Amino acid sequence: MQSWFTFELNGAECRVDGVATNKTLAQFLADRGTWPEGPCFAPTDSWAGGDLVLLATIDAVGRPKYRAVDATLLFLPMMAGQDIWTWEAFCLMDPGHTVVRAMRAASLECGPRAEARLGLLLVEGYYRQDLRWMGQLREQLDGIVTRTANWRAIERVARQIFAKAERMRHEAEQIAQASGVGKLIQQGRLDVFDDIFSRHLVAYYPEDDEDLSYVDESKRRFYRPKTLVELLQLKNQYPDAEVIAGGTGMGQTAGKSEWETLISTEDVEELRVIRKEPNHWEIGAAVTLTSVGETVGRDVGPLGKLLSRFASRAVRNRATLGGNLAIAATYGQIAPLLIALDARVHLTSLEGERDAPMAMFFDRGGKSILRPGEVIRSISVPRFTESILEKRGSQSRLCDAYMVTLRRSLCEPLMTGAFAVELAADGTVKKAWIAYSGVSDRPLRARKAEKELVGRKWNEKAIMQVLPSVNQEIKIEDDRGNDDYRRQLVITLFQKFYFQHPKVADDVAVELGAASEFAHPEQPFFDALALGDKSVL
Amino acid sequence: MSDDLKNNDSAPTSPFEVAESDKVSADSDFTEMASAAGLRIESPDGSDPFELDDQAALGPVRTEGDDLTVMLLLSPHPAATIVRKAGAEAREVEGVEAVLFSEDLGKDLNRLMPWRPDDPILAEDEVLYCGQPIAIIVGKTTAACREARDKIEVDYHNAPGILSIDHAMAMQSFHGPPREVTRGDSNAVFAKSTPDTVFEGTFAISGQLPGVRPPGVRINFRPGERAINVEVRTESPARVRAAVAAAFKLPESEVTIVALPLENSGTVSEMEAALIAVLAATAAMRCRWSVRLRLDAKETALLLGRRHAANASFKIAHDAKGRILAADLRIALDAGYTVSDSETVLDRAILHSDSAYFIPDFTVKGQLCKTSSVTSANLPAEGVAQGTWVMEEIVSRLAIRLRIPVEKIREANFYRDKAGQNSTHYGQPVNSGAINRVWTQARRRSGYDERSKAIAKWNRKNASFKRGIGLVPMKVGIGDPRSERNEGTAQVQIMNDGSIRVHPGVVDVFDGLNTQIQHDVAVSFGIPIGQISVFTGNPETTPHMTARLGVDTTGLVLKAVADACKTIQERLRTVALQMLAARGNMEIELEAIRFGGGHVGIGEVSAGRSLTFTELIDGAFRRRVNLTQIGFFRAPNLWWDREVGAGWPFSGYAYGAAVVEVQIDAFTGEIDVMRVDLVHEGSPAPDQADRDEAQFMRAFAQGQGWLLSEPNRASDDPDSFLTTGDEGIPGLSDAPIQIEIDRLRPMGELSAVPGAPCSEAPVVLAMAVREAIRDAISAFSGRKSVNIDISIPASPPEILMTLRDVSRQISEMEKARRYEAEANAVPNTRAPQT
Ligand SMILES: Cc1cc2nc3c(=O)[nH]c(=O)nc-3n(C[C@H](O)[C@H](O)[C@H](O)COP(=O)(O)OP(=O)(O)OC[C@H]3O[C@@H](n4cnc5c(N)ncnc54)[C@H](O)[C@@H]3O)c2cc1C
Repeated sequence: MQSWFTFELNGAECRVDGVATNKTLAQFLADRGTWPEGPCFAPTDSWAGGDLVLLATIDAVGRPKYRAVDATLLFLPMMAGQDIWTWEAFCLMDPGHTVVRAMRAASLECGPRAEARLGLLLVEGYYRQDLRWMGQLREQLDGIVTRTANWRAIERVARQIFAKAERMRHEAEQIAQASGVGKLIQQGRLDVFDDIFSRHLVAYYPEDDEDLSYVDESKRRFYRPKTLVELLQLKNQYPDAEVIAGGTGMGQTAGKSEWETLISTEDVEELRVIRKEPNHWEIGAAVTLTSVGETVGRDVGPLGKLLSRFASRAVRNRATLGGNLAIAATYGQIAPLLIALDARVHLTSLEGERDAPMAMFFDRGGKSILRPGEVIRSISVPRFTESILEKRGSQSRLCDAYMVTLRRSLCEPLMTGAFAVELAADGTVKKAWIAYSGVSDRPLRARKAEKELVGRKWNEKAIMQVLPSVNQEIKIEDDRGNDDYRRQLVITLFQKFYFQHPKVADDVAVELGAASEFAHPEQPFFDALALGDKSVL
Repeated sequence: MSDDLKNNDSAPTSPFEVAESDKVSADSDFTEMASAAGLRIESPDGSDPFELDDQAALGPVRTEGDDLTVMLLLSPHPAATIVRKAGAEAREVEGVEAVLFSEDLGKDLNRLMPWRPDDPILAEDEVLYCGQPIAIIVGKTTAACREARDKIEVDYHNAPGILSIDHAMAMQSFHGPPREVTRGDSNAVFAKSTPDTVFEGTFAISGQLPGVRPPGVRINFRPGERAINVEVRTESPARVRAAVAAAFKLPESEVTIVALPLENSGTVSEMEAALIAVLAATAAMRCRWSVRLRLDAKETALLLGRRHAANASFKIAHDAKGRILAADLRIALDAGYTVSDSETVLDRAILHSDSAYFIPDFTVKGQLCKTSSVTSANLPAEGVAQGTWVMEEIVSRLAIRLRIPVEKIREANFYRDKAGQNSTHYGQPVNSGAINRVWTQARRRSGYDERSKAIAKWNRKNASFKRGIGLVPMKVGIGDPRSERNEGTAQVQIMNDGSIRVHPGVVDVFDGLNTQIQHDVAVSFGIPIGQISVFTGNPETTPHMTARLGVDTTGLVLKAVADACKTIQERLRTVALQMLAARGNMEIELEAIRFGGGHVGIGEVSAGRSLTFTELIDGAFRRRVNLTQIGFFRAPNLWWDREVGAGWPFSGYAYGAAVVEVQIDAFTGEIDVMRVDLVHEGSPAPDQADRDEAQFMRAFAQGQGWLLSEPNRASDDPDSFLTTGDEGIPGLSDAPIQIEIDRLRPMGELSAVPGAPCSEAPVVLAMAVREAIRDAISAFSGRKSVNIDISIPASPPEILMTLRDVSRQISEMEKARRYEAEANAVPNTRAPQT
């Protein structure tokens, strides 16, 4: 065991000695006086956007990427061997960083806290290299929920910055291709931006040290093993140990709860895989939601849609799919969709492996079937390609999920409904999935209604006929309030599904959202540069 | 005692708090720095200004620099009689220094003087609101305080309490007499009207929470010094100073306030900051040591007031075209258990209840309700929004009643450029031309007419999604009806190297005021912007600081800065004249001397016709010219006679209009705000465009949150105070997808124009969102004359409820129509028989 560790903070090594395992990075930085308003301020609640830092990571396809993450949800030992930057670093860069200059010129007037949060999200976006469309812009900045936000100026600045990044990438790509190193750009290993952060990033490789095993002054332990076997052995050795993944769930109680032993899944190779198989996607339990969104989400529409509205960018950058399922939050919006997608969850322990359909994973009382000593290894999501559907005797599959919240982002979902139907060539339903969360102590399926749908033609009449069963099966059984409303949603969300997917062959939602007409989510914003103030950039 | 109230051990989420577990590394560094953040009282070595009790005189051994922690025990009940309070056991807890009840303070100290001579700081025999402090606990550590708090025994005898405006009205529970403003004789008009031209109704506007940012306070007691140092986050440092001085029985001149910046105005109400400071000061005084007090999120939610909820009832007489001939309005505001700023808020509501409309015979009555909840706060556009919205709601309902497009009704009622029709019910003239300008501009620039048509077409095709568009005008009085509030101060100091330091007399709320001051000063002295430093929030140099809310602070302060600059410039001109004369330029006239490009004079430096600014300052210093100046500005000629209900309370009006388009999803009740067009008079200076825009957006977002997504909380249940995630403050994802802003130069002469009218007024324009929702819902109803009752906030559940209600009304109408048709059919069929 070691009683210290180091990490890189703003390009310099930072050594931590004996600090409590459950101290957050935010608190650590506050003590050092790193926050813009001085150290006396408490960290911002993560539901209000949190206090962000930029973390160097490797994305789902192996490229180095900066990710804005919420420091109030990070336990300090998680940082061992990592590379982080605070907003200060960008403000101090000489000559001024593009993002800082653009923000200063825009007179955002949002206060230093919000400015730092916005700044880091913009910086992440600047170096992302995959921001192309207007829709992605709002997604990147969905953690901005303050009363001081100048929405209009923020969007304008973001467009300028991202457009500039896109232009630089494009130019660098052309030069690189000409000189035969185009591949390096795709791999994220060519410095496109020509600044210290970018140079730092292209040279970033995760530390390949030993496993971390750290003990703090109060003898609390923090392990970060590299293999699944080690993890399971540790879990066996310390039966009370808590597994920790992204920490966005556990971090919310940081400082209030104490854990004797924490075992991080972050470095476990087997849990970090994300694989596209011919018939399904295999998603390791420790894969972040951002990575899931960027891979599976692009292939499986409804999942991408749901993830883009999950918490906020900074939370998605850390939160894992395994952690999300293990928490088994009654309002969790991903579970019902995984049910509708007919996904399976794979569990593993020293005794062996087992797997279960998604719906069977959840147990009464907000619990799961996870046994002590057992962890989630992966989730497999079927890919319903034509040939696969054909094998199942279906011609098409319609699937969608709807989550209802009081505000768009950083908001606990009130309720989620996820639906799928597989249709034969003649338009009759071969199989149906109707699942809800946020109604009871676990996600519920309307199994009777699903059965009743089978064999019927997919039309309004069929819907009307099964609604009573849905109504009967899905009861509001928790005390989260708005019962009346949720009772209504049980029906109307299903109706909405039919309304948006009325056609057999058409598995694209009928777009009626404001999104399609006003936001032009698919419109690239880089030509918008012409509108922007070039002098700034 | 609710466990939750006691065990709010959210250590790291409160400001300044170091969790016990972190103490190891949370070295004195942190503590020291943290001390820069709270309230601090300094104390004794012989010259102690306070009476010491014996225990304190012995003085427990403490380490310098380690503050004592103050914690509060808050009442979990909104109304109760306190039967028993026992703190003996709590005092025994190791590390606890004091447990104070109201009895320990004595009647005279248990008052928030000079502001609330009648209200106790700590509850005496009676609990007046949920969250009222009952006891102060002082201890060495948070853990000790928490343990002691758990051991305090309080027996309550619960009373029902008054929890709503309706309840207060029924119980006749009011603060002060009703207020009234009258023009003409509305009753006479009603008497002459027929039932189909008179129309009555009620309208309720809910409160809104301040952005919950737990306030903290630190009091410094330094041995040997008499002065007190208080570090606190507040809108109005002067009030905190007065209250702390009164609590210590010190002259105000001995109290130093360090006013920390606020992230936004309206985060900590003025009076509550004083209350929290006094609670901490009391603890410090008793223990004679520096203390800090931090509230956690829940305590904050309980102790900080929300907006004034309002209930209005109205009766209007109108003609067939929708012109309002007479109106009788009653507005009741929930002031809470005591009145802080509510009197003025009520004034503002009454003064704005005409919105932009001329109503010949008009009576407005206002009343402040006394309820068992924390005193209501003064947030941006407080009172202004409530008053205006009542009238806009009336007009909008009238349109549905008459089935006339609502914009026609609005236009028919605007103030007109005719004698007798261009002044408000309290007698201040209105610029009807300005109303017309913003209105036509908004209509034209947003393409209102074409879009209305396009929307109607779209709606015909879509059964489950409907769109609506809303257009509202706005007229907001600039200034505060309390005329003493309409003043600003600023201190300008020129350093020997020619750089300039400015201390504006306001707290920083990060609204860009600092940059604006920098800019103004740089322009007036003709030097680069980098030479100007602005330090906000220092009550030592500008003791009479302007509160950030309810007034045109920015404008007042900018004018005070200008005043100081002008005075110094005059002095400098004389110096320049002398210096240039010494260089042989005798013919220069004083008035001709200009400041620009780093030079002062009338021409080329090389020709000896100008000096560099640095040269000049050096010369001025040598000639013993005062280079420090306090600037002062007061808005002239303001008066408001509350008793008579007449006056000229505002230095002018800010005019604006907004068009909003929304889309409602009938499956879920979710609302997309698709496009917003704002037309608004901005600051007179063209270079303030960006900062004005920031103000517009901030204020509009606050209004949108209030009307759309920020839930209300029960004031009688401490557990109903939700977590931050449920606050529902709209984020960037909720922002309108398209926003167009048209910033107009105010009409009239520049010097008469108020400085920056846009920091609060656009809150009012958010009403357009509600109007658009009404329009969309009315599309669902096929534009029938049904009652569309949209609650505030119009959250998805409420919208779905409203839709259900509307369809119920329609089916009833259908039924009634069919019934009538049948009834009519009967004689017809019989007729041939007879
Ligand atoms: C601001 C904010 C918003 C949020 N919004 C949502 C939301 O909208 N919907 C929602 O569902 N959740 C939400 N959450 C909760 C949480 O972020 C997510 O559920 C997240 O996916 C948890 O993942 P994690 O990796 O951070 O879990 P962690 O916090 O690391 O772990 C959570 C739990 O899962 C266990 N665990 C983790 N990995 C495994 C594994 N492989 N095998 C077994 N057990 C494991 C841990 O032991 C722990 O008990 C939100 C959180 C925050 C802070």
